[in-house]
Amino acid sequence: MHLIKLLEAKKHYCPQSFSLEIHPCDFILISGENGKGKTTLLELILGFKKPDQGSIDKKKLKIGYLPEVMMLPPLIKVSEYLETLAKVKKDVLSEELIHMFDIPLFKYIHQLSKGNQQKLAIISTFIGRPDLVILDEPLSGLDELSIHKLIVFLKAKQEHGLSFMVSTHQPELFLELSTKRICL
Amino acid sequence: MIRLIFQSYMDKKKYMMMFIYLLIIIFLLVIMCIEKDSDIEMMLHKDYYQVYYEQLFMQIMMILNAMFVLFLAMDHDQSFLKPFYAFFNRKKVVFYKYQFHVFWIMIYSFTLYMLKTIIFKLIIPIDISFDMILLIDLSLDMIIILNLMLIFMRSKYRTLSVVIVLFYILYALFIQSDSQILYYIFPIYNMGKTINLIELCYKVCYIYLGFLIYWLKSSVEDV
Repeated sequence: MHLIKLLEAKKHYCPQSFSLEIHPCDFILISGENGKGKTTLLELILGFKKPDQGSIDKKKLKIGYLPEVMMLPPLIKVSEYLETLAKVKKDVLSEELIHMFDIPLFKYIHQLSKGNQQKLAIISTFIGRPDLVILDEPLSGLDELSIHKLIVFLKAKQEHGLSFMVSTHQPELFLELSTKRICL
Repeated sequence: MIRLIFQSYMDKKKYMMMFIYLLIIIFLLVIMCIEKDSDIEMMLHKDYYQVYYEQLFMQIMMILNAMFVLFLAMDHDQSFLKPFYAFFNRKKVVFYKYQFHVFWIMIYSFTLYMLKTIIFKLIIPIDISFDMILLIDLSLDMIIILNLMLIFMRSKYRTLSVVIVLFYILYALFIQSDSQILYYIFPIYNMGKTINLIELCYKVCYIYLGFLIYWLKSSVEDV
């Protein structure tokens, strides 16, 4: 039973059409050169764009989305942001996730380094128990240790039945997890 | 959700812009109140000055309001909303975003009214009253402008949304008589401001229709 199914979905400005099925526990890895349609594929799946041709069959899903450049509210504290987000998404904050990434909770977001902002963005993506998580360049700004922790965390989540779609320029780091690979 | 949108929307630059805008408003209100006529003369011709200040304040408010809505709606396409669109139903996010805009308009109108009351009290020797219903009417005008801007903002008629605001400002500045037909089509064009309840009801219905168009349009168009 698929979560999302794309059948020859295409945007007029994109060089190719996409056919794809996403199932529970899938880990789909997308890689490819610039301008080949990685972002367009993600936007079609997320419902940000409607296909000009083809069709998309999508169940009612909660999708956790990490954009390539995440805009975080700069003038509030990390803890306040996470608490508000958890409240809005009707979830409780995962202590495990916060401790794993070790981000300073009582700093203002604009005071965080790029790497810590990326970690915060990743944590916020997982709040609310999404059914599918779409990560666009999740490794940008992360150090080696954080990359390792992230991969271990993703593996654990995948084992718990969560589906992933990851667009990255470093696909070799996710090969162990991937169930499908799309090279554009 | 509104709190989250507010936290994401407001940064240092926006706070600074709001502060400057507030200073401009205070400056304009003070300039407006500085009158060459003597206090005694103003007290003698109280009715005349009541109408004079009321009309002047209305004119300034209409221009400032339009500018504020323009400032609010121009920055509508925030990329921070994308993760929310993905997680929640897009209709839900658009609905809360609209509520956020309306909330700002209410705060702004109330602030302006308070500022006007304080400045008038401090500078003008006579009591100038300003009907609350006029304030409600002006706030509804702002929401109508917001609707029109939001509807056209993302389409190929993008410039039309700015033209509507510019025309509104020019209308407030230069046109003294009202066109009935124009008023029925766009109920913001009423410079006479003779408000009655039916008129307010008409505006509320107009706003509701505008919101529905914007809501449905936003939930299907490409982000």
